[in-house]
Amino acid sequence: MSATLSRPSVSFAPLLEQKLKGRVTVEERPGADIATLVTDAATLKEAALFLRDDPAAAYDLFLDLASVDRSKLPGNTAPGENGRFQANYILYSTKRNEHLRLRVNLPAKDPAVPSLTGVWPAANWFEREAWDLMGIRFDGHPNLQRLLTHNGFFGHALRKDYDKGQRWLCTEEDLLKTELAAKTDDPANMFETMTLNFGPSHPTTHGTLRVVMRMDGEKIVAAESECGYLHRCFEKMSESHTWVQVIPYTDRLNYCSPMINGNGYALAVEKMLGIDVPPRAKAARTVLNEFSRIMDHLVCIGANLVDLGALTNFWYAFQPREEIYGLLEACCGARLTSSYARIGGLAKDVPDNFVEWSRSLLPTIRDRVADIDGLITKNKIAWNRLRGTGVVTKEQAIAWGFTGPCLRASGVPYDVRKDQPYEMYGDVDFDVPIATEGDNFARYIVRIEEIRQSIRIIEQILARFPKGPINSDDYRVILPPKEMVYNEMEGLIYHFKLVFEGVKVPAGEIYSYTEGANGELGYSLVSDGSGFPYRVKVRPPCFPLFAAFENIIKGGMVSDAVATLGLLNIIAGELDR
Amino acid sequence: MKTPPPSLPVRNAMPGRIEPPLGPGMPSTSGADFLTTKLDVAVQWAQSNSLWPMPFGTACCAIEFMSVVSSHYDLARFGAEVVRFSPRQADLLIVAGTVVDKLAPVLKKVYDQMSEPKWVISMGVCASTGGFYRAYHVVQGIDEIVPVDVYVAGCPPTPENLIHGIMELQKMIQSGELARHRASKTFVPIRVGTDPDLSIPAYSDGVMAHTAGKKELPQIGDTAESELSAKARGQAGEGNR
Amino acid sequence: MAARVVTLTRPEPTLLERLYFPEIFKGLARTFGHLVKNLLNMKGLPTIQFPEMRRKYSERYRGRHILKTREDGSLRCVACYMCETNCPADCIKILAGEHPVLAYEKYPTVFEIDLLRCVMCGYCVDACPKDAIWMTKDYEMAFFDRKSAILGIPELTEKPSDTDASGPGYGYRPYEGESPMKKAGQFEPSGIPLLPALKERGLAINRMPPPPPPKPAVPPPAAKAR
Repeated sequence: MSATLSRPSVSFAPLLEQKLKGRVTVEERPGADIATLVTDAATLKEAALFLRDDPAAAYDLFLDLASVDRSKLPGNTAPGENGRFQANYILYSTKRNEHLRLRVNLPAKDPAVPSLTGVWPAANWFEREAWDLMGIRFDGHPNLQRLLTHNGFFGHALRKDYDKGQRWLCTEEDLLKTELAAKTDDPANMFETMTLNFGPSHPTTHGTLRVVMRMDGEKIVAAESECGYLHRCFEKMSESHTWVQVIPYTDRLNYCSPMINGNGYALAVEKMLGIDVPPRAKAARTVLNEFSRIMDHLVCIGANLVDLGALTNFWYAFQPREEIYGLLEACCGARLTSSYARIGGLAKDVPDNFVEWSRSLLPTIRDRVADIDGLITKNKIAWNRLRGTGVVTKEQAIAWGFTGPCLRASGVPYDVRKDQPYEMYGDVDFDVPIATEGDNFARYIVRIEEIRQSIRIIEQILARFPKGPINSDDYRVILPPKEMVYNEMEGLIYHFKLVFEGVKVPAGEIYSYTEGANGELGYSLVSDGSGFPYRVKVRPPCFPLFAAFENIIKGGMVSDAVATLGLLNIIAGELDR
Repeated sequence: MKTPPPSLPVRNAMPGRIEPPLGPGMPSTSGADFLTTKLDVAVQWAQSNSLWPMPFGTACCAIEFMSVVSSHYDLARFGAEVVRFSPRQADLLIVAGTVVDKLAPVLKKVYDQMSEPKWVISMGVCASTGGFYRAYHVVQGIDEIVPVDVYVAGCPPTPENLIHGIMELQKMIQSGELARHRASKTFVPIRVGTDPDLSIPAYSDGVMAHTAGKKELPQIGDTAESELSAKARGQAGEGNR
Repeated sequence: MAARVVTLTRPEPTLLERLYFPEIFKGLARTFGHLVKNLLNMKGLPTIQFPEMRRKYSERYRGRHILKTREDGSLRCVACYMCETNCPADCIKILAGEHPVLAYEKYPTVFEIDLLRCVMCGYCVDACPKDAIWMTKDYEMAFFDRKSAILGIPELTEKPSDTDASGPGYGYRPYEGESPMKKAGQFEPSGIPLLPALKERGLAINRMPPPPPPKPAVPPPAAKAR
């Protein structure tokens, strides 16, 4: 695993040295992690422009901004001086298929960096989030407001000196957000336009999203979206739980496809530990990932078609979902929140009839997808609602940091499963569907086709589902079997140490990424060598999608905005974490 | 339970039945008024079998709620299929999913917009107690904000469990326990937070459950902290209930 | 074996499709097809008539917890706090006491699970080294107030009604089938009969009153709060 994913050191290092004269240094990283450059706040913008524009680098996709407060990290000798905070920009080059981390060390007092919104527009919300939760200031940011927490919040929650239980009062006045309305205000047309508040409790937001729109009749002149209505403090909670205890929390990130989150997290920690799981676990994870992807796409399509007025498809989409739930429940014991992945394997072996059971589900999925396809794909109403609405061009999609089906619907064939295969994706044959139009209809047909491709992947893996153990035999990582715990002193000691101290992940950091149902799901993990994660940062695929939403719907109608919101498939759980 | 300061309106601490405060002009049902008694029974029967739920779905539980209304579980069999997203047309508020501080005023407003009689089901542990999110931005149970009739455990509850909760609520309505809400007009949210000066919410109508200074916070209602949560608070740092 | 990029094309609608009505009828045919199919095969309907009919959950279903007992009815739990430590939700509370039967050493005087905090992740079952806590398939957990959701030892102790024909049955548990402990011959024998023998040898010192025997079966906690 680590062999396939190990990245070479930075290939354009000489050019970098020549252009930026030693102000950017290459940091050596262990094989499983991505390449890393270190710079300072003064050089950041220059380095960013080089990385974006130089054809030898060509990092066009801004993926994530992971901030770290290193004040409690052992070995961080001078936390008060330079280096208490770190801003890690995660970048990806669609042309060269490489990830890169650009790191800036920041002082404890007034950490500030220039904003990169001018370089990568996708940085906008990530910087607001880092300001909100970590208190890093971004000079030149167009709108450096709190994003996830409310206006009545004091302090920066992810700093290590912030008590995780300290809550603050939020009143209705804090939500009125006069600046939201003011931003969309146009004094010249004061009598022509009106402000429309959409959400956070609105059925078509499928959760808790909020958009304030400035309307000229039916047309949206300007819009401002806001999130944070489901900010459950996942990242802060992770810091007070052991590595294994974080797994139930990951289930609740993207709750439409919980298995993908847990498997991605386990993979990330396994990379840090440098261990490999047995083939059977890999195969099981891949199959369950794909079933989860099918479920996620079915919810997305079914629920969105309800918003468009086509209720029947919802029942068709939910019938196979319920049947997949049966399989997932037989594996892990819960329908939705599975807690099935473990570091080094799975909680339990898959049931004996797993292969036959999985296979028996596929015809139902195929039939119901065919039903939806038959009802919608050539339906004139669906055409009129979906074709040509919510258009995102290829350039826009990259600039806004899209990944997953929405990026592929705009014509960029980036899929982690294809480009940097993990688990068993390198051994199977499947198509990555893309569409060039970038409108809602493209996002719809890409999802329908992805369901079919997921079925193909599942069939291929089931045909040669490996036998053997499901879990790694490294009992410093995974709980030993019960026979050992009950009957042998050695097993009991392993068990005891694992439960009380947790998995001891070696100090270091990693950015690990898998293909979630909505795009690249990345985990930036920092370990201080103890049994608890020092910092967990999720790169939620929905986050850039929703950040761009206000730009997509501008100039369209409210009804189109509803269709767009549904087909971007914003999941509040992973958007707000 | 601590005795709250006398100025505070106190919610009846009895977890069980709360006596209905009869409105002016409302006939007593305990008398020999045969006709109104029978009418009450009929009304209760009708109310319990025609609940119009408003799903206040925020998170994972909302996905399970979708399963409850879709073909496998089909909530229509209980007369509750008319899912209304407008609170003014609904009489059963199903809070499905985590409610965070930022969303709390919204939930309060939605509840206030519902007309009487109204009931609240707290679906899942996040809505009921905050679940395993004992954190800086999560409401530790929606009973801080609105009164709750039925708590449904599970994370998320299976559809069967939610239907079970709705059936329990139907039984409650049929037994005439409308009163829970009438009594809760004076509902005051219980409080969390380390600094009483700063972290007291004002979600309730104008009444602040607030004592000046650093005194112990009053604990009102039947959700007084058990030793269990006190233990957790000790573990997780002060103020993290 | 590799992934291939496929560009999805979008054919322009044919005249027949643009005419609107043929497609409407096609769609109606599809939905009515389902209606007829379902009418002809009422047994095959997906709807589960809960509560008369119940979905069959697997042997790993994570529902309400039970505390397993030894043959003499005492709890197998030795109050080692491992489940409490492993619980991500901090919903378990244990207080340990000294067991009068020396062979048992420790037992829980308080064992509480707050079902309204519990996220049913099964980590307590994974953590238990003594095979003492299992889960059942009981999912009916609705409460009228928060206090009644905190289950103590009497509610948690395994009862015959948990596993009989009408009961929920065992759910998530460390093993299915015979206990690996028993297989290895390590299954702890009942300690109470040993008491007189130990006393004779001066080994059983009653350091505190013996634990109360588990109370007779109480009805399942769900919705019996009033």
